[in-house]
Amino acid sequence: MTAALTFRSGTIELRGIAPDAAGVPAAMLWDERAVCFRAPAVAYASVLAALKSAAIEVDDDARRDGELPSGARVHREARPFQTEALHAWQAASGRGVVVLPTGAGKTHVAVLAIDALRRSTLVVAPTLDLVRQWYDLLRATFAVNVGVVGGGDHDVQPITVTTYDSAYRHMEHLGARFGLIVFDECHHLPGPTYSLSARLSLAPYRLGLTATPERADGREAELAADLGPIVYRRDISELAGEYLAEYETVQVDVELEPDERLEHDAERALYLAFVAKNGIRLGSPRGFGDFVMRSAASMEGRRAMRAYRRQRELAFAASAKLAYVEHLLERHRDDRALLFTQDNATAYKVARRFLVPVITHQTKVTERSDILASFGAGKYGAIVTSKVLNEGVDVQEANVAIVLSGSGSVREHVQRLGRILRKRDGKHAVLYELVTSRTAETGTSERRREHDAYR
Amino acid sequence: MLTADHIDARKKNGELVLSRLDARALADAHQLAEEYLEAARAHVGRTREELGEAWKEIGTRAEKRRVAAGLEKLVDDACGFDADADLDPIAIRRAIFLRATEVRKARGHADASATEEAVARPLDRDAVVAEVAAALGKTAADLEAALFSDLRGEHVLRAAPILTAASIVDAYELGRAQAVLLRAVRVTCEVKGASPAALRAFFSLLKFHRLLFTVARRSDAGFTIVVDGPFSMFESVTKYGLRFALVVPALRTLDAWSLVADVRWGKAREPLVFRMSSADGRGRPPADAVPKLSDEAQLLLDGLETLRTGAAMSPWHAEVASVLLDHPGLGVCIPDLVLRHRDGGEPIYVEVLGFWSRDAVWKRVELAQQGLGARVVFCASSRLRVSAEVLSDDAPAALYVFKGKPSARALLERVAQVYAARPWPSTSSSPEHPAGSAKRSPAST
Repeated sequence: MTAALTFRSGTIELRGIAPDAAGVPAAMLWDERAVCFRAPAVAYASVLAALKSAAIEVDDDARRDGELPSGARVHREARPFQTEALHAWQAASGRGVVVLPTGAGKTHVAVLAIDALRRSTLVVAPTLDLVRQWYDLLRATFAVNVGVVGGGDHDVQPITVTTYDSAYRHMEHLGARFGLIVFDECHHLPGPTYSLSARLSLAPYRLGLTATPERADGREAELAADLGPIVYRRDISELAGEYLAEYETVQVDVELEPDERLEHDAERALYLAFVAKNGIRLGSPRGFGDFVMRSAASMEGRRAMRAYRRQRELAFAASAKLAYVEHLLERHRDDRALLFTQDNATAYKVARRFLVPVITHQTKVTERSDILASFGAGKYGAIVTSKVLNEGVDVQEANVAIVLSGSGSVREHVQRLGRILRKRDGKHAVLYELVTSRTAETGTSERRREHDAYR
Repeated sequence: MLTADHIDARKKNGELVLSRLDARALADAHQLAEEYLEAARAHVGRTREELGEAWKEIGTRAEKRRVAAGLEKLVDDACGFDADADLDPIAIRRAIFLRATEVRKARGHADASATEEAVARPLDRDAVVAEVAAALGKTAADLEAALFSDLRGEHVLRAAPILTAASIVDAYELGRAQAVLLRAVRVTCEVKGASPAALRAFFSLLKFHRLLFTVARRSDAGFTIVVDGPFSMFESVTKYGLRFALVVPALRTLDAWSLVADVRWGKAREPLVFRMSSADGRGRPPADAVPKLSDEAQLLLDGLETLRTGAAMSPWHAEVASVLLDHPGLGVCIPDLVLRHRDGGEPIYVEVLGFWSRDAVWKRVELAQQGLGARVVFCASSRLRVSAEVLSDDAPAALYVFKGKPSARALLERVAQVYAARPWPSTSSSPEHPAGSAKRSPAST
């Protein structure tokens, strides 16, 4: 009897083989519930190879992907490092992660891979902005239907673009339909939820793209199991000048106004007193979580949490920072500036005060598209955003970044820099980082600048 | 739905225990719910942000912060918010921001000498807003108010909840258990003495949510039902947690039940056990007793009704089934529909099999071959690669294999065939009173 392999809800089932049969792939376990062998879909390629080497004949009904009817109809010349990246990925049997700095053209590596493989492809991106951007690019490049799953759409086509959230929700049903799966900004993948979207897919070919694979929690090691190893890597310092715009970074320290300083110091003292009283070690990995937990348990704690938030607000949106933003907007009135904030409230405050368009997670897709298109066309000279433009979104014309506030994340800071590095003739990019002196921001700034890119 | 942030739970000997809401805690919760509701009623016509500030005050005074947060969430869910629709904020933003960019650019090019001047003479934002307002025939104040009126915090409360504090507190109690089950990786239920209709609703819900379950009859005429998903055997995933949570209301309509859930709790996803049962003394909520049908079963039901009332004048009346067809040792069959001929005779049951398990079809075939004690037509998608020929034409059970969507007309052909078949041997149990057996009997869909 020929064994049968089928895809079921993110797993593959092997039937027609006795529970004690020899040669069954190690990845497959006997499932008493359904009286068959079962493996996670991610193991599909290895299961097939193991069955073949054990000379077990199998009727493979698991894969539902197909060949693309044609390759790319637009051929943009690849840069040497993009070709090298493609070859490295192909040499790794079409499984692996390519690490390239923002602006270097990671997307084009994926386009080359899709064109070379010509299998139905699912692209997974972290935000709807990126989904829209991928959709536009793929539709322009390939003469095949391109679908979108997420943001109210559910149109599955030979090439489909989706978000990490939608991939997690729908991969039980989509997992057999694509031969290649591309995870853009794949540093988002590790973790108990998103990683399931990789494990519930049987796509034999997998490509991860990122500028910053390293994670604060060290879980980047999981990428190897879900996508494959890092097969190619180039950093900003290797490509700046020739393939990325020349740039400089400028740190601007500002002082709080006297009344802001008084309030900041009082609130900070209140918050730190609570921390000290409760023996919370903020420097330890669980220190802040401990503070959050303890602060919720009492009125005093809740007041301490309010104090913590207030002193941060004062540092993030110090009057002097906003005055300097005014100065920078005037100085760069003929440039294209991206203003980054840590929180939405500050982004809206800046938008209202300086009358510049704002993009946050609350901005509808149509308005985002209009803002980005108008920015590209020069109708807008600046956009303020909190985090949604941190990564991936292609704003080629941007040449000035103004970081009003941010987290201590090196990745976030490098990505924000990356937004202005896309190469154009004669482009010289500049990133301003505004830091409020003698506040917690000083330390935060030092932490996020620990990268070669901040020379 | 509530989440872990809305409930007070503690760990005790490997178990996750919800803090008991005693009489005083319940009275406090009622008081809090009433305050949230009152605040909402007082804020009709005002923004979500303003209401949020009022609610924040209530929450700050609350002794149990998470209870307050949960009640606030439930009241919030019941509120009707809407954006102020008088002016289009997106169009206003576009007009103002475009004009501001033009004005800024027109003020000269940046160079070293221009910098000081620029600082000294910033963009006159108020003039820009006034200019755009005049062009639109509005006031500057109108535009300032409308500029971000579509943001969530600016939405206006149009209707306060019509719920009572008591119903909010009831919903909170149910929501607490559901919040825990969101983090569950597997659920084991024990059900005893339930009516077939209630059981049927419960099982239908499991099927509707495409959960994988095994059923074992217990010696006390009850059932043990283990619920999880296909991927569960490789990793303890919480992916099915939402579906577990959605099943709880149906479980609570049963007479006597208990539930044990394996949960992964907190950031560390610590494995803990969570228990709840009908003996918790919380009373039964209003039963949502109408069983949910799968899309395919609903399609058949609608099609059969059309055939009966339309020109075809089919003699078959179809309705949602409410029996369990139990074959001790082999499994449980839960029909979706029951069809009755207008001339009488035995009813014909119809079960639409879940999409993901071919194995379920073979189990049903095995059940039919062993004798179900009732006439049944099983409906299976051709994607399951099964053939109608596995059951003989004269058997009182049949398999209807459909491509794409099932057809009511094609189903009736199988129904007529089963109706005309010889009766079952007399050894089977009655479908209305399933016989007891302690033997474990898997019945996956």
